[in-house]
Amino acid sequence: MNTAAQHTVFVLSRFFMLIFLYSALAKFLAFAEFSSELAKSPFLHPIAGLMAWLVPISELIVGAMLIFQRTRGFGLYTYFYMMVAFTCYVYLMMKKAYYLPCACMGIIDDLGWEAHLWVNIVVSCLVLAAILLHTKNIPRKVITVRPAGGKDKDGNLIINTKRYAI
Amino acid sequence: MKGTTAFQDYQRNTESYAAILQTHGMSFWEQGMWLVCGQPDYQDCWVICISLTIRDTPEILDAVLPIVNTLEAPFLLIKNRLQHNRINNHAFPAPLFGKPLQIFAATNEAAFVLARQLVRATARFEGLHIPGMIRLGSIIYTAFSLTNPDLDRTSSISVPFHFTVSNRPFYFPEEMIWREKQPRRFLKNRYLPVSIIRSSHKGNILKGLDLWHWKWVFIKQATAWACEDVHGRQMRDRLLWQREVATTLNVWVRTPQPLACFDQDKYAYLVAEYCGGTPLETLIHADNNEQQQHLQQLLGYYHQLLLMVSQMHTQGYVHRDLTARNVLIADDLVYLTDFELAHRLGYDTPPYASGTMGYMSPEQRHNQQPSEAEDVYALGALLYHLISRRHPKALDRLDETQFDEHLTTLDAPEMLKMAIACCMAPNPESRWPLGLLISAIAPYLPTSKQQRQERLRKARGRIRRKFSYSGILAALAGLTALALWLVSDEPNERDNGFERHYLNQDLRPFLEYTVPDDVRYLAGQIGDSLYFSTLSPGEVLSLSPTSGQMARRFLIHDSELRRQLSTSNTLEANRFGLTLYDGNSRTIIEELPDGTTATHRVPELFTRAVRLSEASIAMRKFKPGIRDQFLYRFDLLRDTALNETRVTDPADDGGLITGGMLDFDLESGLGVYLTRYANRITLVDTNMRILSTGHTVDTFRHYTLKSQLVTAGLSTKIMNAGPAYYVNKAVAFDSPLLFVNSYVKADNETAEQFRQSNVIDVYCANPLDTPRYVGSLRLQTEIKNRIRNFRVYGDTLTVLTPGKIRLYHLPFHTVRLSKNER
Repeated sequence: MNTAAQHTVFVLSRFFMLIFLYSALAKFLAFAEFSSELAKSPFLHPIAGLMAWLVPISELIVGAMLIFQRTRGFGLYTYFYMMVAFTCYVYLMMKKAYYLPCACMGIIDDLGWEAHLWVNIVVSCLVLAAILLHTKNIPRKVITVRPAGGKDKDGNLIINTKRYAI
Repeated sequence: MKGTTAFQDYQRNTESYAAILQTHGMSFWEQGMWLVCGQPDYQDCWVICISLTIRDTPEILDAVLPIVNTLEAPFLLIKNRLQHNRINNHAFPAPLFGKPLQIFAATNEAAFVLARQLVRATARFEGLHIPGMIRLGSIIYTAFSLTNPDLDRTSSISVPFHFTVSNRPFYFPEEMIWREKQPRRFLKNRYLPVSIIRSSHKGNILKGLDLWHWKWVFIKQATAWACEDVHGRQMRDRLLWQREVATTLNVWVRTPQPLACFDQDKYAYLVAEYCGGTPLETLIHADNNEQQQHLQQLLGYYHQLLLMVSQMHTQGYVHRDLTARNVLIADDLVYLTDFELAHRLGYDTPPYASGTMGYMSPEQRHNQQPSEAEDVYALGALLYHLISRRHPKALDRLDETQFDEHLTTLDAPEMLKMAIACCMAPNPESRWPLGLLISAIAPYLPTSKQQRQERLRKARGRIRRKFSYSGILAALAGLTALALWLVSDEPNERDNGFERHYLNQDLRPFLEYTVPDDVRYLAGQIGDSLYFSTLSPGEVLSLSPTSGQMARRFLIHDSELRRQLSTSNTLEANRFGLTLYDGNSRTIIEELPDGTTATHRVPELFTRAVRLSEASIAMRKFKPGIRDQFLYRFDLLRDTALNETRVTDPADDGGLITGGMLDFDLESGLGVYLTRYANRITLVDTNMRILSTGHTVDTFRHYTLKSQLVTAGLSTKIMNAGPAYYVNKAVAFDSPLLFVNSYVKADNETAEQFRQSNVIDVYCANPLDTPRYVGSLRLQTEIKNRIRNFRVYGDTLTVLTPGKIRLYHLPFHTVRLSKNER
């Protein structure tokens, strides 16, 4: 995988991480309001107490996973799952719910539900792109092979000092 | 010099242990590789074996022999260090492993006494673990001896007896049995072994988890005393050496980086980073339909290996155990592992003995001084393994002619066969240099086009796999959201026990205007103009429906006063002019006919207010003592509150639920208070006396919402404690007709129909009777255009939805009903 792709994955991961970290911090800073808004959601009402903790903590964990190369792959898949689940939730809320609470907190709070749906779809597509581009970054070693030491049919030493990336 | 050292080593190793026996004044004779003392009877007796290490043998014998001598027990002792090394390194048949000293007890009692004294005398020593025997002490083992019926007297190493621990009554008391300490689950409180990758008599290779860095690691777990060489080096020394070599070569050779080496619970551990991957041996024997392609791929790995070995040689090291099992392939990269037998050329440190059968050169088998040619031999054997898919140990049994004949039968290019033959030449001098081998296999490596095609094929496979994973995750995510929806208790997805009848088909607006996004709600109508409250406190937007002209202006010119207003202020427009109510700042601002404003201060907080007459206002307040909502009449002339009427149900919330809408019909002097989260209608007069109560057409008599006090920082807020299932969303009272925007579906309409429209239920609210349901109006809108609020003026219904104001003609019979009721 070429370097440009890896740089793209790196930049995208940082972007996704910032979204989740910002979102989680905004939720924690206004936790009472967030949990109360969440309780107004007809879909999440029965598990609102659990979700109020689970969502920002998951966002923090997944955001942190995106920082490290070793956990980035798993983090991207988890991120994708969360974004798709959230997108489906927004879609179902728009289609089915008669009251649309807003529990996103922060600047996202100002987005309407439809704008939110489009933002989610775009971010989910970007995450999918990052998953496809992401590869394990294994450093390659460059070695120099010393002269072969053998002789050809004319009695000349076979020299082979090629540099190889292994 | 080297020759002298080798001779001294040989002399030292062949030095007999007889001298030690003589020191203790014991008589013995030599039989094969044993020194025999007394007359051992191998049949039906307990034998006690002492696990002697080469290093401690003299000391142990000094401790043991006096006891044996005193008890006159016959015994067998290995002859010298050379044989001792072999018996301790699996060079003899398995039953002999680790048993250089065997003491035979004539009776059970003698065995017991002997064992007890030996255990005590040897407690401070350590030794090899002998499998298949009962351990009594640190280096004391016992078993029952039986004569070997298959004894081959022509063989010098055939064992005349065998040991058993089964089918014999156990004589030794329970407390004499050695209690093996249970190894701890965690290694160094950091590594957690989770699975065994490979296992042998020397120990295990485990896959573990590094809990500090949360990553997988290889753990080589070696039984500390699994083997010992003539220099007294045990497994621990091997692991330390392996770590040293791997750390040194890690810059040039791809190998799992060693992380730690330590002892714990009688085991020596080497922890290295985990690279996953598959052993080359597994790939060689993997089923593959494309034989040619498969061989090319294997040769590609082989080429990588050659380059690494070449680099290793450049650094002055030889590997000495290059086997298909010690080469791992992960992500198309070759990892070289197991540097246990590696040797640094030109140094006096003796190499570790042995290697892997089939891959060991003749000189390595004879423990000669290591050279690069040993690795070349192993690489030749590995090339044979790659091409033939047969383990090269079969070649060990062939002589030179047979070997050449065998090679000719191989289905492989001549150059490769020649490479095998030249690398596996018995004479190290005749073997090819490594560089020549690299050059020889170069033509058989995949071409760049093939490599590109292979890379593309793998990339396609990887993308397909990732798409599959992502698809599965997306499906799971969708199912999660769907499950949440299915378990949710949404009233409009089920029957609610009532039906509506519609007074019209879909009402279409006769006028429609776009209003700015900051418009909050419709405040009312004065003359020909409609007035709206905006997000900016104190600002008013007016619209002339006939001309469509809009204008903005501030009701309050005092910027300081505007700043004091809360965002929850409400604006009302009626024939008495514009009035702004702000319950939080306890302020009422009235616009007088001359354009000036009058400000009234209310002594208490209020939660809702609406104009009753020129001089009075109806307002709702929370009464702390009673903890419920009350309606008051506020006198604008005297700024005092009069009367009070309790309007909300207790609802078990201490009056926290403030969800109710208040509207007054100024002409009839009647007001209505309609709850949002239940279907209660309360009719009041201008003195706040309740005239009648009733219910909307639906069945939600009890509150669909609970509220709670939420403390955020220093402030406390009243907030919903559940989903806001609105029953009624907006109200307009044009006596006697009460218009209610309902949020609950009737049984005679589908959820989709209900979602696609705004429903306004019409009631006849007569003060002398309970409100009566007349019928419903359906306003066709999109889902996002839910009604914010609406007003009824004469036969015109004015509805505000987000971004739009629409005017509808009420159906003729509704207007007629209104007039008749009046």
